[in-house]
Amino acid sequence: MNCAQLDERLTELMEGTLSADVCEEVNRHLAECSDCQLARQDLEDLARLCREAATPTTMPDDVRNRVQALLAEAPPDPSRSAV
Amino acid sequence: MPEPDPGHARREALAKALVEHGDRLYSLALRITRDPDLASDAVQEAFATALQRVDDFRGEARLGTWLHRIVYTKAIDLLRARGREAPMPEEDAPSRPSEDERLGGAPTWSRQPDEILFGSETRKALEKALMELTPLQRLVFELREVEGRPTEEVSDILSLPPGTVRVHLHRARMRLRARLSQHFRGAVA
Repeated sequence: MNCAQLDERLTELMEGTLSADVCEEVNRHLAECSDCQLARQDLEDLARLCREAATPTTMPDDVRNRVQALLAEAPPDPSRSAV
Repeated sequence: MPEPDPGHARREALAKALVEHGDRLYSLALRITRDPDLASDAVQEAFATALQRVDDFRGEARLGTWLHRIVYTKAIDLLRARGREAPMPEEDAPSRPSEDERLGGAPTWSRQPDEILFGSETRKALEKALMELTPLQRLVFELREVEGRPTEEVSDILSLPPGTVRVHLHRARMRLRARLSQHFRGAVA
């Protein structure tokens, strides 16, 4: 396996979806190649950056209230209502 | 004895789903539209559609996943109705950076200064690099990496095979890595 081939496998490696034999090949290459080790580290850093930088999004109260009102006002049997 | 009202049970189920999934549904709509008003409309229209079509829901998919799919469709419809670029499954071509996208309405990357190890320059670089992805790459990446949803869930929401989700995820990661790697080397490990 060369560096370009490993590059194509990095996401599968991180997702844990590589077959056992390919995973072994990837890990063998990684053990010997500092450039590819750096590439994998970059992707791990990218994931860490996203986790650290993101904040949860909350549905605004007015939207939630409108949906609740919609559900409360719905006719008894929606399947018979006009669409 | 009065017959049970099936409509009541449906409304109850959707009201419960609103409590359980409301924030994530809104977040999905916002990630697609990058516009709080459109996201609000998408969520509201999605619940209206869910009420009308709840008989179609047979339980083969979880109610939450089904609602996510409806929100996704509504958000796409609203974007297309306004002539804006939407993350369609068939997309594959790289997109150009969009100058007029309303970043202010997107889910925030803001954080307390002491909660992050990467600097503000890196965060800004990430925001900029994300906007240079195709809309579908960005959506897949954000759902998977930012919101931490499993690949299978992303696959269900977008109605794409898991392998296709991984392809978009891989392309997104590679493009972001190319843009951001210089920022990582100086970050605190």
